Amino acid sequence: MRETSKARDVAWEDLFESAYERLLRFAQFLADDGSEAEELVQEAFVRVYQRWERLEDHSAAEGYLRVTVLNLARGRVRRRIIARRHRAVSDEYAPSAERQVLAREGDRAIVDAIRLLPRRQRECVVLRYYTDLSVDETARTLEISQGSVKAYTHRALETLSQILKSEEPV
Amino acid sequence: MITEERVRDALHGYAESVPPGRGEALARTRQRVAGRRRRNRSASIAGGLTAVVIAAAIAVLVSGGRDRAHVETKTDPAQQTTATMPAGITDVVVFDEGRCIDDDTLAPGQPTPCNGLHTTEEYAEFVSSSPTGTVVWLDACRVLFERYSGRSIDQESSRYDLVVAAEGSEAAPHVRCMIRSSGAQTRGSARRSGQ
Repeated sequence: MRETSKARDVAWEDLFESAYERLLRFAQFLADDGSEAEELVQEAFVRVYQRWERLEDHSAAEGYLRVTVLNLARGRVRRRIIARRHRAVSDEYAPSAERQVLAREGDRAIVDAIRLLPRRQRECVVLRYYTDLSVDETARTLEISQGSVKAYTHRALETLSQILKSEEPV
Repeated sequence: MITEERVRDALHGYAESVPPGRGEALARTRQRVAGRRRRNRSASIAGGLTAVVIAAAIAVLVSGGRDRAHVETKTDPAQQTTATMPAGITDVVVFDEGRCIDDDTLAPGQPTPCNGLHTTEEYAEFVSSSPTGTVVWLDACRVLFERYSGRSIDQESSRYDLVVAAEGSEAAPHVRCMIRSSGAQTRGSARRSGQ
């Protein structure tokens, strides 16, 4: 039993080492701020650890982590949705000075606009264009149809264009 | 219109600016895992013959409930995932000694947050004040547990005991289904009383 537990710890830490950074980057597009993104990812890893024996396919653990992060983010976002409607995104997710330097200005404008998208549209955009999932994989992750993924993504690009256009200096 | 490539570039470019901090994060996450294990162990010891882990499924099963889920699915894209749940089931919540500790342990992939409600009493109040109403469905717990955990109750019989507690009435109808670690006698009586 102790051996099994040790093997689980080693496998889980390997998973952490290989996937943490990717998931943190993924989570930052769904969370309210950087520390919440960390919180989401760490909680997802804790849950995977607790259910390690129940995971049928450990090679698919990262996918499970991703879905857990999505669901955790949804839960938190839902509770704050009213407050969020009345706050500017830039106030919620103020980038650090370091990040401001590192991120290209144009990229940041687009990412800020992505954070303004309705949840489903934002999830589709992040899964499709950041995580590089196919339409089918995105549909399975979000448990919606492929047609919905296409519709949400298309709508998201339209909305992004409108947001960015409205922010252009006159 | 903005192109897919531009969005992809922006996301990847921005993501690269995230400071990793992996070492500290691993240490913090390890601490959290250790904390959970300690808490679970304490609960197991303290629980003894009484309930240790209670999984509560709150079911809304009458046609009103189904209609509501149906309407939500149609009108609110955020609620679409409810369509994949058994008809009328709105929440699967795990309680540890009366406190909500988790909201999707039995349902990976299902967004069922605690909604800021932490005690069984708060949850009971929440459900009884639900305008949708419900009827008693004695098998709800078993179905939920098996569907979302991928395990059968029989396989778990040494660890869990299925208790279906039908609470409320037609006037304030709600059902709480509890899976607990108590003995077989409790299970038997609960099933009988439920029937």
